[in-house]
Amino acid sequence: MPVIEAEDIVKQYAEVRALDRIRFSVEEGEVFALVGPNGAGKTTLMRILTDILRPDSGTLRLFGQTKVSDALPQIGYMPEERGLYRHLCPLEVVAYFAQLKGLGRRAARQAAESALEAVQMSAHARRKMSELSKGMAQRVQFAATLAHAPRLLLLDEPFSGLDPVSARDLQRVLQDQRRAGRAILLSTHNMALAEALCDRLLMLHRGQQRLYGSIEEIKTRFADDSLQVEYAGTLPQIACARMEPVNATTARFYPQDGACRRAILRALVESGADILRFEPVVPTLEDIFIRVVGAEGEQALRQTETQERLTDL
Amino acid sequence: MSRNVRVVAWHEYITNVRRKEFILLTLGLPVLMLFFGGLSVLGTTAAVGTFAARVTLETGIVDRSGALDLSEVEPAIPDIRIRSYADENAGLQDVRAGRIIALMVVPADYLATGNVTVYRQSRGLFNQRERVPVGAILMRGLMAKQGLEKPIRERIYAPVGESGARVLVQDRSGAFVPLHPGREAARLILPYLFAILLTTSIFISANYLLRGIAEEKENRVIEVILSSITPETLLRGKLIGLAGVGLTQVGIWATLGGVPALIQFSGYIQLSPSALAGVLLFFALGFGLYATILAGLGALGTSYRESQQIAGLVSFGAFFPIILILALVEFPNGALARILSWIPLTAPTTMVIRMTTAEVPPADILLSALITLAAIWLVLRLSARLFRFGLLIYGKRPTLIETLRWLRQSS
Repeated sequence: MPVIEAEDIVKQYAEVRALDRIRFSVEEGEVFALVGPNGAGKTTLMRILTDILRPDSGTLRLFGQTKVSDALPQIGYMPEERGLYRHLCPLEVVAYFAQLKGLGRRAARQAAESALEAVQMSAHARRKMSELSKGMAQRVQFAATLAHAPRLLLLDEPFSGLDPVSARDLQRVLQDQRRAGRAILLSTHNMALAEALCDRLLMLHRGQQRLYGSIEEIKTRFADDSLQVEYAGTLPQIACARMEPVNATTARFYPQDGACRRAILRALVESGADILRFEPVVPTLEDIFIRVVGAEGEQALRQTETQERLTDL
Repeated sequence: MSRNVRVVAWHEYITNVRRKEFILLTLGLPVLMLFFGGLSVLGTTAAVGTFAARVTLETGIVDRSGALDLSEVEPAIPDIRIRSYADENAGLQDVRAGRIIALMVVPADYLATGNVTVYRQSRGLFNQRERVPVGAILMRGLMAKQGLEKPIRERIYAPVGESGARVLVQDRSGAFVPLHPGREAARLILPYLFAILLTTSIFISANYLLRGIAEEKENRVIEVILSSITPETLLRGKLIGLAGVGLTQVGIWATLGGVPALIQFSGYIQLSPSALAGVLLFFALGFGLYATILAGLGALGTSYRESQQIAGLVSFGAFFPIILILALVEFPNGALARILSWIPLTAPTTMVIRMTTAEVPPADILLSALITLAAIWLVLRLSARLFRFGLLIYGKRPTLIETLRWLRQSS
């Protein structure tokens, strides 16, 4: 039974259609990426999944139930806009959120202690939130998402603003959660991370579903007969492909006039080129993202890169 | 009460009563009031002591009317020494030199006009100590001149006698009992005290409520909470938790200040158990109404300060009957009191004032309670919708049109 099953979800804000007939499913033990540029409808979809917003039409089943509110205790949600009670300590904050998810007072406190340990925040469990750094606060937020041992994690831009060490730690915790059989849906602009962490994805653009499926399958779908060739000496021009140099000894050949990979390779060999290595070019998720959502996608990726550079500093 | 309402209520209660500001305000205010009260008592005692120190009031008189016989003034008025002057200038010189406190010049046409001129050094508007009893001097001077018998003259000076008139007033049971200043004071103090307690408890709790909502919006915690519970559950939990905070605070103040005051006036207070129950009912209704309104409006504010401004406007309704307290105490079952009891925003405070003043007809109590309950039911529904809508709006206050559109869509 899928953890999430969405069929033709529609959400309209006044004149804007934020989500237009969105269909997807997420399975147990799966890491699922929700990608798209700003304004694509990712946050609206997350809020519908957490029952903060209701869809105008369509069917949503969580753990097989159509009443989303009944499934909330099994969901851990980390919104993009983060914040916690500044006058409380992490232990109190995490325990309170765990109680709201149905744990008793004592169980919630024990769960909070374990979750803080999992994100390496035990040493700071009794300090005031206002005294913690942004990265520490983000770890506490993640602990609050995990404390009640949810079967589904919804993480909206979980890596934004994290320093490289914290990002690596978060990836480790996510892998642990996946191994424990939990379903993870994360929205991100970071295509490299989505490619590294996720099994499948849903790409949205202006409320429309643009891509949906396994990452490997999508990459294969977008692959053409381009070839990357490593060579010695010089490469001659060939008629059946357009050449783009990558560096002094590597170039890419993009097929022209319906030529196939085999024809390109044959033409290169016949031209006398000294070929050391060749391989088919597989597009990255980033290439696909830009190709699908165009200039907006490129802008979204640039924003993510800038944020990451600033964080690295 | 659902489990999550209890969790939110307890969280709101415990996190607020542990705040430094709560502890400081709750314990600090009575201490501050005791301090200023003590200071005031000490100041008054000192002032009375100074006033009580006897001063001889040397007073000069130039009588050009010939209508006065001043021989009986000195024995009758304590501390007065009369010095007659034939010449006004000589008297004025003595005023300037400080030899006399004042100089009264009684003109020749005094009997026809009543005009008198008093010359004195300026000693401030409120200087009671050196005040010359001009009227008493003239009255005694005139009476003595007329040759009336002394007992008659003395009765004219003091028509009621030293022990005063014996005044009997009707109490709540209809019997005439001797007028007692303590009871008369309690008649005004009691409704005033309860009205102030009601409005204070409402607005302290409402303030915590607004601050809690504003903080959760500013900190973006609200989205995590709403992914666990409904806005309605959150609203109910907050209302209950913060009612507890307000009651704790008012309870502490009542114990520290109100109970001693009630003991002081216990002999004069006539508040039946049913009236006390009615007061408590309108306390609860008042809190329920205002907290619900403010929660809905507070969710629309983008910051604590903005929410406070909204709260300030609405809270005027609860204070309004206090402005009219003299009229309400005088006519507790009059037209004004009745009309204010039918308006939901003014009903709780008005009813508290009325019920602590007089017997209020049961029909009036029932009607007012039903109107307030209906208003709470309506406002709770609207506030829950505003709460759901307003909580996810960050940084920008929704326009009236947006708010109305949301209310229509969510109905």
